Amino acid sequence: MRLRTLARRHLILLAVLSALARIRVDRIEAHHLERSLKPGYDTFGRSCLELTFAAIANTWITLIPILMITLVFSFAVALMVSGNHPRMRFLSRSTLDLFSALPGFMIALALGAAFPDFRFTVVLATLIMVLPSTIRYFESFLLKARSEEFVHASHSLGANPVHVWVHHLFPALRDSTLSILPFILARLVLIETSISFLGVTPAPEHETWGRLIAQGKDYLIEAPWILALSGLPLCLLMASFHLLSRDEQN
Amino acid sequence: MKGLLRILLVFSLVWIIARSAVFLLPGDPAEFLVHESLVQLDTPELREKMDLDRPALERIFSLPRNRSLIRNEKASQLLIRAWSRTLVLAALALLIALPATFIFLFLRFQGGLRGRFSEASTLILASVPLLIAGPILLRYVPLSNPLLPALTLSLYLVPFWSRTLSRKLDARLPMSSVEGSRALGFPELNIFTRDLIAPALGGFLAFFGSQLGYLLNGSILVETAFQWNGVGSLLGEAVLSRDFPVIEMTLITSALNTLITQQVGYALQTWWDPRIT
Repeated sequence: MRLRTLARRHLILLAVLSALARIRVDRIEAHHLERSLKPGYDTFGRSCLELTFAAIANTWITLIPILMITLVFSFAVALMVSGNHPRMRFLSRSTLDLFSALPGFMIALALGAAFPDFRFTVVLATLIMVLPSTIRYFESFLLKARSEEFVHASHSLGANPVHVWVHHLFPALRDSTLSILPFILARLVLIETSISFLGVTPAPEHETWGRLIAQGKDYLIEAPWILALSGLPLCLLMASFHLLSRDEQN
Repeated sequence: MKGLLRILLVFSLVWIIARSAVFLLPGDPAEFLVHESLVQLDTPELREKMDLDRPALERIFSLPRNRSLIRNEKASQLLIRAWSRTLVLAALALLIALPATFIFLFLRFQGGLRGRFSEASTLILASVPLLIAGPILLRYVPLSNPLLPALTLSLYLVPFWSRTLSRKLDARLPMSSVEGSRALGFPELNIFTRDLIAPALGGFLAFFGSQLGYLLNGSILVETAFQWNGVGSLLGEAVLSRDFPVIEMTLITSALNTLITQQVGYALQTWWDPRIT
């Protein structure tokens, strides 16, 4: 319980700090700055902590719309897949298998290589990597919920489908979604960071988390503080998400 | 039968995507590749080498050219070499990750201080992403290839597997005969293996099928960080240098590999526990 509170407080603190840093950090074009190595600063002489928090804010700005699309689209598709049309179910499941069979990072790389100036590479690649598993989760949840005794009982007592949805299925789905939300968020953050770490996206206006970590990796011997200051918040964020996810599921 | 039909359908879709991906390039694909990639060919030659002189439909439904545009080698040879290296990495990662997962699960099953240690360790390991663990291990752990990338890969797999499996075991625990076996005085390891792991193994096997597919397709992050020339690294290089014959062949074989390992997982699950369909 204490760990859960700590995780929540950490997430709130991170959100506040990153919002403040996002306001403070101006648009700095790194290649115009002189290279130097000072403890606490990156190779372009910018404060690592400030940059990291600003990058975290940028990550959230990118990820919140993706999260919304993921949840709404997954739910709609899962509703369709879990319906009673076997042919439709077969086709939809095959499409999901197709997306699961394609390597997600390859798609990100391919998009980045074919369309170097395309701003939505991260969004598209992230959606391709996250949607199949989220749709499957919602599908299995809906199939299971529909076969529950209380749902059958409600139908037998003459309740219409809308009533069953509003009073039985939706509350269960809301709780279930809340319990997997930290897990989905953790995946989204990791995918977004990994894609920008690989450097396939166009040079952004603001520094991204993945690019900072990549810089830290390149200068691990000369300036280990870059990886430490940009990597540690990511590890703490992941730990908070895992703790929340575990507690919600318990 | 249905599984086979689905494999065929998905494989056909992957084939179509892989063979038609070149048409998604902006403008004339051949012109684009000559100007934007490392290909050292002129436009007509490239058009011929990539079957772009054929009608689009004919190209999509024909076999890909087996020649890399960048390296003067057959794409299939490159792929076989990369597969063999990825296979070594996957086998080593499995050798490390499977026993480690078993140990973490067993410690968690024992509860008390050991259980807490197991939970804390998996939480810490799960919180360090590959893109941070890779460079740190590369810098500070005195191990050589392929042990180091295999260790990094297993550091990602162990917490993921043990957290997923521990949830399944927790759900199964109330229905198991663990309490009865404990009352009869059986050793803890026997109880854990026979009363908890063995009955739950069916579900595990299907899960491992999909994980095996992931491992065999190579991890771009790990292979790039450790300069291990496996499938992930080959695919990454091919995409960045727009070597389309290699991209097409790698994509098709990776998808086939994922589909087959998934079905193998399901088959093993049904064989182990026929009640699961």
